[in-house]
Amino acid sequence: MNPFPNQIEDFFPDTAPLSEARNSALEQLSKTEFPNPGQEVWKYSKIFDLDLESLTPSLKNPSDKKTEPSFLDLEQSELVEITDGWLTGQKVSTLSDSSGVYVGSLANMGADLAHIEKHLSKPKDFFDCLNHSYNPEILLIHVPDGVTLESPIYIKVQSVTAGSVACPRIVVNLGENSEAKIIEHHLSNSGESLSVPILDAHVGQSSRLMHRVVQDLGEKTWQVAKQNFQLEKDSCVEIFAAAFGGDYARSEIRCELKGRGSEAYLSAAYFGNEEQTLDFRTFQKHEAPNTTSKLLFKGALDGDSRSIYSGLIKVLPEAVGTKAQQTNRNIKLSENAWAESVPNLEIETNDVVCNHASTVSGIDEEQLFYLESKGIETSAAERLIIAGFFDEVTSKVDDPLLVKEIDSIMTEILQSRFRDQGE
Amino acid sequence: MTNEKLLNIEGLCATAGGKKVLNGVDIQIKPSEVHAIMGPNGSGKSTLAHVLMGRPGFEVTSGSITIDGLDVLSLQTWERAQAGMFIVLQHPIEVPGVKISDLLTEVAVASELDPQESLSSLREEAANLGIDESLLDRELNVDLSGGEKKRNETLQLLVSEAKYAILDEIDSGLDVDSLALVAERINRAAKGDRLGVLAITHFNRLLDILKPDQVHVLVDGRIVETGPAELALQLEKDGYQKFSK
Repeated sequence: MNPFPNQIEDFFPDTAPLSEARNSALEQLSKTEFPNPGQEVWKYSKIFDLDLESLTPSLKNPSDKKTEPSFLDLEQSELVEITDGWLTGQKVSTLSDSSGVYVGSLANMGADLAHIEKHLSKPKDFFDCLNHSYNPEILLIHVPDGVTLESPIYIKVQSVTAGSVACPRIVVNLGENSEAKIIEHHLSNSGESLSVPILDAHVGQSSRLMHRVVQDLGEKTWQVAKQNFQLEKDSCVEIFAAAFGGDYARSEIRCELKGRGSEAYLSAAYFGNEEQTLDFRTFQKHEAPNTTSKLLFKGALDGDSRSIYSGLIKVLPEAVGTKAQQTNRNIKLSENAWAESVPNLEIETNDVVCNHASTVSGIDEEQLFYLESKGIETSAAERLIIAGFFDEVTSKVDDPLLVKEIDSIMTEILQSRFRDQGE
Repeated sequence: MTNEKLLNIEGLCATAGGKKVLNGVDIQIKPSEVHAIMGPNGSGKSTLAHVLMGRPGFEVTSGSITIDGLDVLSLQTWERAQAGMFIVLQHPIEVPGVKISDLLTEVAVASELDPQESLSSLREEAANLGIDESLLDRELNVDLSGGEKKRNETLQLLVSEAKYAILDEIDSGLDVDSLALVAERINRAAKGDRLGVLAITHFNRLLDILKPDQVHVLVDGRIVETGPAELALQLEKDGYQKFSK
C-alpha cells in the first residue's frame, strides 16, 4: 500500500544501482500492507492511529528552511546535518581525508560502492520500504582498516516541515581494526510529522563502534526508527539511546553478532510524559561462538504516558559460549502511566549464560522515607531517586556534550514535574 | 503546651503493619541527655524509632510526641527532620545512584545553607571518624558493610543541625575501634552541641562510652523500668526474665 506519489524520479535524480534499489523498494511498498494489530511486532503499539494520508514525503531539499536548535550546533565544524531526510550540512566532507575516511552522500562515494552495498539492509516491512523509496540520499560514514577517528561524528537529524514524512538513512561501514564514535541528535519542529530513520552499521573485524542517540522530537512527531548492527569477529559495539520526545516514538535495535568473540552493549534511558508513547524493540542475535551482549534499558513514565519494551535474545545452535543479558526497569510516576515490559529468550544451544529481568514499579517508599528522614522534601527526594535510578545508564555516557544535554533535559523534566505538583 | 526544650513522648500507642506494638510509652529527653532503651527482641524498640520519624507502615493510635513544644505527629517525615530530629536506622536503606554529597547538597539547599560549606564540613568530620574520602562518592548504602553504613550515618548526624538523635542499634556492624570512635563522637555532640540522644541497643559496649543518663527497659510495648546507667549492667547479667509476664 503506497498512499504517496509513485512518480518520483525527477525529485531524486540518483543513478544505478541506487535508482534500481529505489524502484524495487517502491514496487515492494505498493505490495506491502501497513502494520495491523494482529502482528506480534506491533503489539501494544498505537501505530494504527497514524494518519498517513495527512502527510507527504519530503520531495524537495528544504535547505532554505529554518533549522531546529541543537546542542550539537556548538560543534559546527564537525556537524553533519540531515533535514527532512536530505543531507543539508555544508561541512559534510571535512572529515573525509587522505586516510580514506569518507563522510558524505553514498552516491558521491564513487568506486567502492559495491563493497559497501553488500552490507545494506534489504527492506522487509512497510516502514523499511517507505524509507528505501523516499530517502533522498544516503549518508555514508566509511572508516577504512586501521583508522581510529579521534573525534566523534555529530549528526543532527531534524524534521523542519510540518506535515512531512522524512526518511533519513545512515550507513556506517567500519573496516578492520578501526574505531569511531557517532552521536545523533533527533529533533523536529512542533508540527505534525513522521520520521522513519534507518541506520545500517557494519563493524569489521576487531573494530569498535560507539553509537549514541538523543531523541528529543517535537510533541506531535511520530517516529519509527530502526538501527541494524552487524558485528564481525572480535568487534564491539556500544549503543546508547536517550528518548524523551515525540508523540509516538518507536525504536527498533537489532544486533547481529555474526563473528566469533563479538560484543554488543546496549543501554537506554527514556522518560515519558503527558500522552507520549515510547516503544522499544530489541533483538540480540548470537550467531557465533563466544559472543557477548548486555542490555540495560531504564525508563520513567509520568502523566498518561506509555512505554513498551519488548526484547528478544536469540542464540543459534552454533553460538556456544554465549553470554547474554537483558534488563528492563521502569518507574511509574503517576497513576495513569503505563509500562509494558516483555523480555524473551530463544536459546538453541547449551553452554550459554543468559538471563533477563524486567520490573515495573513506583518510587520506592523506603528510599523516599530514608531521604525524607534527612530533611529533604518529598518532591526533592523523588527527584533524587529518579536521577539516581537513571544514573546506572547515564553515568556510562562518556561524551561531555551529550552528558550535559541529557542532564539538562532530565533536570528540565524533573523540575517542571515538581513545579506542576507544587501548584 | 510549653516551649520547654524537650523531646516528649507521652502515652504513645502504635501499630506496625496493623499489629499493636506500643502500648503507652512515656519518655522525656532534654538537650544533652542520653537515654538508652533496652529490651528483648520484639518488645517494640525499633517500632518506637520508626514511629518517631513517621515511617510508612507504622501508625500512632494514641498518645503524643512533641519536640520543643512542636507537635511532631502532625508533621511529615522531612518536616520532622527539619525540626531537628535525626534517625539512624538499624538497616540504612540503599538508594542506588545517589551519593552522600548529592544528599547533603539537597539538605543544605533545603536549610538555606551553602552546599560548599556543608561538603567541606562533611569532609572534615569524615576524617575525624576515620572515613575514607572515597566513601563519600559511593552510592548511598549500596554495597557497603554494616559498619560503613553506620559510620556514614553518624557522619551525617554530626554535620546535621539535629537536636535529637534516635539511634537504632548504631553499634551493630561496627568493630570495636569504630564503635569507640562513633560513640565518643556522639557523646561529645551530646555534651558540646546539646544533642539529645535516644539510643536503642542490646549491649553495654556502646553504653560504656555513651554514659546514658537514664536506661529504660521496654517490654511488650511498655517501659517497665527506668534507672541509672548501672541498670544496663544488671540487665546484661540477669536478662529480661523478671519483666516477663
